[in-house]
Amino acid sequence: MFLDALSTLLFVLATVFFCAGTIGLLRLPDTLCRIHALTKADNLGLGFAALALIIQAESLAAAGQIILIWLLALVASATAGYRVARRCVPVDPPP
Amino acid sequence: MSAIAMDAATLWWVLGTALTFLGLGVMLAAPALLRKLLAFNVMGSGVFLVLLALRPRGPDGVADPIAQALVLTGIVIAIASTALGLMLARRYHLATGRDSLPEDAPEGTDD
Amino acid sequence: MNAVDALLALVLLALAVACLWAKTARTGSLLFITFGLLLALAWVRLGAIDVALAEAAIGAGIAGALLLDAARQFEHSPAGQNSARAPSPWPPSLLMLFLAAVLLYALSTIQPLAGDATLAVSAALESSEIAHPVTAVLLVFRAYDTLLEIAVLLVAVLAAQAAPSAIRASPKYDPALAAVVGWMVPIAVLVAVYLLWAGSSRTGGAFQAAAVLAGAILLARFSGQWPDADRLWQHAGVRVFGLVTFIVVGLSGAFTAGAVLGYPAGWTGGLVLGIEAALMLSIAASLLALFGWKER
Repeated sequence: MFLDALSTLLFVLATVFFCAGTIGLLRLPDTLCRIHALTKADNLGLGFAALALIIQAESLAAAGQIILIWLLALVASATAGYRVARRCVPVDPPP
Repeated sequence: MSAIAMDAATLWWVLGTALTFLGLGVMLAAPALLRKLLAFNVMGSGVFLVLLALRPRGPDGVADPIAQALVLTGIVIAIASTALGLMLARRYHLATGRDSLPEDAPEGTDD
Repeated sequence: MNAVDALLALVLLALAVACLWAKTARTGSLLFITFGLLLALAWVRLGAIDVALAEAAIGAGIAGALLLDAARQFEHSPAGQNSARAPSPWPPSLLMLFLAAVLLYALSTIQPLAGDATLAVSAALESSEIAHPVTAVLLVFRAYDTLLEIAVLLVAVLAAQAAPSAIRASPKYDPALAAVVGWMVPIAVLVAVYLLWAGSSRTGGAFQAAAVLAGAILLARFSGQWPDADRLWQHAGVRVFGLVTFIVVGLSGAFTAGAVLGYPAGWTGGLVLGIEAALMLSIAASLLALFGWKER
């Protein structure tokens, strides 16, 4: 019962961060700023959602899987943000 | 048709029908080849939704395994067809510089 | 039906409309990837987890990547701007509405045989020695369908190879991407092998594993780190390997089990896993070949 309430609270927090990320995506002026919104706010929202699911997980293995998924999503999101940013501001690698 | 009091599965095959004819309509109407392929994929997804949503679920809530196998096969075939269509469209584009067939070209553009 | 399902269905419909009426093909492809991922959620709501996995991996991932790749080529051409205009909705829309109404009426009057097929599959599951019903259907009960499906995929690859592919420059070496890819690719390969192995007892299977494997190899390509990485994968033998294995095992079933595509008792699990492993490699190679990438 307490766990359910905590999960609900964490999900609401996740929704808040996702909304913040989406508002940032819509309202920020250029691509580089929007990457900030997407990678930081959205991944924090994902973290809260993952936390809410971990509380409800039925086994340690399932909780471990959820944490792994969150970490992989972080890495993928950061890498994608980096590639998009590279497209906007091309930087030549050092020779 | 008592569709107002929907149960869970009804929603999905109604959505599937909508997606199927949305995709089919755009596939017929749009001149651009890439858009036709996008519409083809949307149409395929709609058909799969209808196929699977019509089957009653097993006692533990798992969908009918034969329908699942059919849809899995369908997804793979759809992507094979899409890839082939894309390859043809890209080859056509490389050869002629066009992204739609001449008979489909929107009015006002010449050959 | 609850509010989440209704919301999901509405969003899917809105995404489909946005994708088909998008201003450029690239925007449409990106929206299609989003559509595919949310469709995977819809499959979960319908109780079809295997289909959800396949939709996310193949339907959204691979198809989206193929479409984006093509959209990139098309937007670099002046002639392409003309028909990038959104389609005018009028000509077929009345016909579509009529047909949709007919189909909706027909579907609402269908009385499905309640759970007959599911019961038949569960009853026969013991004899197939595979714990997961969908894998049992795919590779034991309806193995012929899967065999033909692989053959169709191979035919599509052959036809796609007949069109000479556009030569493009090798991707530049990107140190940050290479560092990430350096350990993402092994993790992805591990996930693919796990999906393959899990398919015999729970959700998973050769197709989903192949899509993840193809994604891993594509990542390796894009990092520019191992330019020879897919020399092996482009070898024609790898693409054919799965189909050949399937046919060989199937034909041998005529002698060992009394029926073509039958499996001898006690060997079903191992043979199915072997076939699925060969299929995983072949489908991954085929999916890669569909990108039509030839480097300078």
